[in-house]
Amino acid sequence: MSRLLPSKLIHHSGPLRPFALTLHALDTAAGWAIIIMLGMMVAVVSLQVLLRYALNSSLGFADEMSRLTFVWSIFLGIPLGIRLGAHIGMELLSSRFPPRMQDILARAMAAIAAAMMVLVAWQSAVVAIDQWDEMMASMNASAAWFIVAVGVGCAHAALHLAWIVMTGKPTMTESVATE
Amino acid sequence: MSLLIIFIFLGIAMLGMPLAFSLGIGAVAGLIYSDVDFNLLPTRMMNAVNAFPLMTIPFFILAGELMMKAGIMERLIDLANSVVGRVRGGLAHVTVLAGMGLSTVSGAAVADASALGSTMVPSLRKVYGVGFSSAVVAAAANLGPIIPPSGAMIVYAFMAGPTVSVGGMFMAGVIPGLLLVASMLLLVWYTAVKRNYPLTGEPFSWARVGHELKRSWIIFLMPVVVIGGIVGGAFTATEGSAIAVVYAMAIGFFITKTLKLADLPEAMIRTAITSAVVGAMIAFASVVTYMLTVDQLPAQLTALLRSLTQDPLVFMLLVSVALFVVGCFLESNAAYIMLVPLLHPIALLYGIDPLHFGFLFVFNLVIGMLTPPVGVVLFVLCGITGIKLGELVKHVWPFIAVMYGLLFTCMFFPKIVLWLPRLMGY
Repeated sequence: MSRLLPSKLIHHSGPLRPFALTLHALDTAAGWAIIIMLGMMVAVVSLQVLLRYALNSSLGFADEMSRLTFVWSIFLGIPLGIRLGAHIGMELLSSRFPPRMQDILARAMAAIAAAMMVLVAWQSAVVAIDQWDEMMASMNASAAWFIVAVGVGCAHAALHLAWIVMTGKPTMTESVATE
Repeated sequence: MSLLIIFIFLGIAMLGMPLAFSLGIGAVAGLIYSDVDFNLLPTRMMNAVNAFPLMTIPFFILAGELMMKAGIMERLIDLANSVVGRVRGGLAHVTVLAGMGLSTVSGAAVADASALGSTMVPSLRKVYGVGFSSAVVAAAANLGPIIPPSGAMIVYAFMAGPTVSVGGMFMAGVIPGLLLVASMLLLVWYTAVKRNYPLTGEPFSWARVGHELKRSWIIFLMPVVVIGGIVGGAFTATEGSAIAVVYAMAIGFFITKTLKLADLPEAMIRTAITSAVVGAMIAFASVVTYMLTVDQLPAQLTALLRSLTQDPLVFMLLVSVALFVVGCFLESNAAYIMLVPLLHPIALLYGIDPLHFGFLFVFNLVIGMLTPPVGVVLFVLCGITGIKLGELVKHVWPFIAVMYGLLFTCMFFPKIVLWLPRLMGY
């Protein structure tokens, strides 16, 4: 994982250093959480097939658990995608502007996207609190954990977008990505 | 309201905001305009990705990543070389056949372009020059989303809903995929003869083919088990894709022994990020789709198209033209996510077979990956070989023409697409 999430942020100096360190810690935690989630998805779904054909039985929680881990892996992956600049965009028009204008535009777009992410994260918290007493069908856990994934992912994404607003570039640029 | 959402989405996307987030901004604008509660955002976003069939996307991506780490490329190239290495334009033929083999385990054009480009281009360019070499690799990589398993077909089937099954879409791609391979081989041979490319490779021998088959049969067993299991009803597409991951790990750890435990985290993170890029678009697009449906845009679009033509063939031609334009400017996954919910129901109203329309839709956008200015496969090749985009486009046009030729053949003769799915009970 160190090649994909290099510790460039740790070496960031200046007033943004605490923010850089926080982001790096969050990214590392998200990275390991994704690995665990994806591993669980593969294990649970393939085990389900094995049990069905080998022992004629099944795991009652397989469907719900795999969906829960999938939802978490998707929303935890979104901020890491921002970090790597992996989200697809159209740059036909914006790339034709002068560099200074491009920088202003990139920061403005990041600010708008960050505000939207904060709104989604906030609404996720509201919905999660509202649904906290609803239980999952096959597991002894709140059904709100599905919505919590949306909130956590969007809040984390908002932090990455805030970094772009402040610095003008993603937390990890292409050159850093290939280190 | 629909116009407002579309206008804001396009305006912001053109200014460089990622498409997924532009969709989110469009959705928020729609919610504000229609005075709908904001808590619709997280619930619809979560429900959009809370789907068992969608898990096939990360599973097949991960299986492809692990198969690459397991060193399958070298075996595929050796096998193809033993069969067609001595034909005129041999190395280019090898590239097309290796691309076909790769597409049976991968299913994504960009990943295939990267794998084929880095392994084949160094030898290809010495014989054919960088232009033709890059074009052949780009065309061969485009087999990825046509021959099953196909990430594009999975996304299409998911966005189209219950009228389209993943297994049916996979089967729809087999015959056209093989025809595409044959057409590409013919084009390569014609070009090689016309340009008098030298003969390369060793003379053909059955013993060598047998030896290479012995080394690579284990690779081809994966699509047989996985796709066969899905089509045969032994397991769902999601279960099949999870088995593909386990199979790829087994090959890498115990057969080729080139996969290490330390490779897994990186492969998993890459997989998760690629899936998240698609997942983010699906999540935000679901809110936009909901708002557009509330505003009855699909019904208005249907009425407009029905007033233009009642002929299904004309409708498909109109869609093809629209997708050609869209493919030039929009990344294909974004196009599936935004356009399939709108156009697929209309195709059903025209009485078009859902698998036929689905295949043509996917094929159209797959060709779009080779057309500038937003041809992602072209970008990958430019990055690997250093060729200028304009130069690559000059060499890739014959392949695009062949693809469009096959697309229209499939459009006018639906049996090419539907024969195998029907045989398999879809």
